[in-house]
Amino acid sequence: MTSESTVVNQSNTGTVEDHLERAAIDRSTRLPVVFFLTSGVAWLAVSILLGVIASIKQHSPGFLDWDWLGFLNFGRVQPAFINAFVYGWCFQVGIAVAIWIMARLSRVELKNPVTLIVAGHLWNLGVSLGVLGILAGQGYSLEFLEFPKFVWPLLFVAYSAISIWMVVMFQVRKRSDAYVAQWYIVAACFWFPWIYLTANMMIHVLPVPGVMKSAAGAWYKSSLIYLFFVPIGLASSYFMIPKIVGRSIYSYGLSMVAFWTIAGVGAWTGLQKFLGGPLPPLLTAISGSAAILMLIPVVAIGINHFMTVRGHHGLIQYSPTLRFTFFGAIGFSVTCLVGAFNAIFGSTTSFTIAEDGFNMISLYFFFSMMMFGAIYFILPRIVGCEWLSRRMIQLHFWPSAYGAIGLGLWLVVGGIWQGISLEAWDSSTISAAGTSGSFLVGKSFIWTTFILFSNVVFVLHFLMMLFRLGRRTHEPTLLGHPQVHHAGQQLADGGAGA
Amino acid sequence: MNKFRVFLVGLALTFGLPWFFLLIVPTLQMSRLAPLPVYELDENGQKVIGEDGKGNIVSYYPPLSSGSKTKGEEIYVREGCAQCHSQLIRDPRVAMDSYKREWGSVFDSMAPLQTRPTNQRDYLAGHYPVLGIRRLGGDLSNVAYRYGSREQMHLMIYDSRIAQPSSIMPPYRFLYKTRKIEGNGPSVRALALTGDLAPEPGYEVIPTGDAEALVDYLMALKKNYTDPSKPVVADAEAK
Ligand code: HEC
Repeated sequence: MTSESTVVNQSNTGTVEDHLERAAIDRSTRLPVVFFLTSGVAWLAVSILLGVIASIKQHSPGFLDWDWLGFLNFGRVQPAFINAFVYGWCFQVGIAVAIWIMARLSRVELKNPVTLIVAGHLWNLGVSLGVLGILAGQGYSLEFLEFPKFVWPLLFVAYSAISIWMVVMFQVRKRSDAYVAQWYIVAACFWFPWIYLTANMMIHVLPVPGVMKSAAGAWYKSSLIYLFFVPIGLASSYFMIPKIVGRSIYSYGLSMVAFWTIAGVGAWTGLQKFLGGPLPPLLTAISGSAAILMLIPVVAIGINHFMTVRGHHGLIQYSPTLRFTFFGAIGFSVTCLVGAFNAIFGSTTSFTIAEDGFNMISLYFFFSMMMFGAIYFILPRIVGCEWLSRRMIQLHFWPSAYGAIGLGLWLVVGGIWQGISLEAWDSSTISAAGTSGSFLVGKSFIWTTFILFSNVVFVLHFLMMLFRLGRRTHEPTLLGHPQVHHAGQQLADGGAGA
Repeated sequence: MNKFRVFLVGLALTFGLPWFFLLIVPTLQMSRLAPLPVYELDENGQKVIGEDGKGNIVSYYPPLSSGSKTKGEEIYVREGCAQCHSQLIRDPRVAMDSYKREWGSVFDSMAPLQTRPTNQRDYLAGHYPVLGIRRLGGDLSNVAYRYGSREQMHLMIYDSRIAQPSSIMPPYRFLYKTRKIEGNGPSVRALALTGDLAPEPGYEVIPTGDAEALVDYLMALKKNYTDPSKPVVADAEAK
């Protein structure tokens, strides 16, 4: 991994052979990538609907409250929603994007997609059984780990197979140097099985005291975000930003700093949720400090991304990929800021909806936005036609962006209020619930308008692409007509050959 | 290849260190914790372990959960009660939990000013992680003190809006069944429902086994028992 390793191949200036090679690689990854993207998007649709129900149920339990719909109560829909969102959508789209980036950067064609497809089916089976299990009242009491007991081996096996595939792909790469995006993908492949196995062994298999099970759950959630979603999301931005701007990453040193701080700090986080609780106080304090240290990579990555795009910020206006990715990069900063905030004011924000705010910021504002950006880049190359409508991309972007900011900040502010009113020793629980209630109504409003709407548009657009209803052209779909190209810059975004 | 191995070792170390210190070490430490037998005072005022005459220890600290209480805990976990309810009283130096009147032992003017924070040993009573996810509802560590009767608790779970019209706790009507009143009048277990919620004449609403187990579990959630690992003087004060 020398400093040249950050030089991303300049797609738009490549030779004819380069173009042919890339086209061949894209063809070879079509099956698994389309499989994971499609199932991811299907789960996105399901989870957004569940999310709407959960959100409304949270403040109005009377909504859809017929006797035969008893299973749709908040205690079951909320975990069904968040698990469908995390394991159905976030994971699968992350895997799809990781497979594609890995193949592209390793410059090898994918020979045998069978492993991936089998693993993908197993994964989807696991997620479906898990979500149905939760709705059937077989859930569990730890966040992001609510799937019934029998599901985790399925997911573990499926994911391990994908990890091994990913590492093999990395090992047979044509260049001996590795790109930053590849470090992140390999790291995520390496960590996640370990995180998942540890958490599930402690919870379901080994006779661990109840307190440590709760601790393992909090640690799992935090590690999943900082050591799986963050690396995969950043892999995408480290690939997409240089690709579209057409230059290499600004600083190799800063990339190193960011990577190793995330690696070194990520797994220390999580236990701050139980600050002042029955865990050894030292551990909760360490976890809280670790969450604050996550601000270091924010600075390093922020500078790096900003300087890479410098002088070409105008492209954000035209390139859908760059726009989503840039927004997602802001989401990364907000994720870590809110994580640090919740750690500092943990005695107030723990157990409030501020933690939901953190979840939504990390999973939607940061991760999903990054992934949308990647999908706008990858899908045309895979299916061979361009996105149909600029208007639809805009209708996806703006409500999503407003929804992401609104949802995240609204919940964090609501969580602070809720926390403060829970702290008031002489006021009743119901009044604290009432305080958060008004924020929860606002959350439902954001869900049903911005998030639901923008994702309906996206899902439709995605389906059109799948059925090849896109534009058959080599001109990428941009969000405007760039009259003057910046410094004669050719937009690399799109054009099925690029 | 060699570089790759260094990279992997780096990943393993950066991850393994926190993994070991945050999870493995405390787990090993905590697995040494065991429930303690509760002492009784014999006629000479000496502390002895309470036995039932056959050598079995009568009571433990914490009171161990078994049978239908464990079943109830399982239902608590499966129904997602932890999505809205916590079961931990944090240290008063950090949070106000132990001063919350509603979360403490008894909700009246005679109640002790401060509820004891929960400690690691308390959680040996159950089998599941019940510390909780959110606090949309209140803390349930000591909920049993606040309920005079099982009936009241059943009504709360059947539909919380009976007691508190603006409640946002979901109704768990599906844990109850409506059946025809038979033979010699309504069952003693039938819920006293009035108004809109009352079943048709000739019918009654009774708890299923799951609801009974859940209430068994909730009615055992009391954490102000004396802690035998503490000096006896403190026990007297806590009373
Ligand atoms: C939507 C979140 C939510 C869920 C899920 C939920 N509750 Fe509640 N619960 C509340 C709220 C809010 C209150 C307090 C307001 C009130 O009195 O209605 C409450 C109050 C209670 C109380 C009374 C507490 C007291 O201090 O008097 C009990 C007992 C209770 N819940 C048990 C349960 C059980 C058992 C479950 C699972 C089967 C459950 N709750 C699920 C929100 C929830």
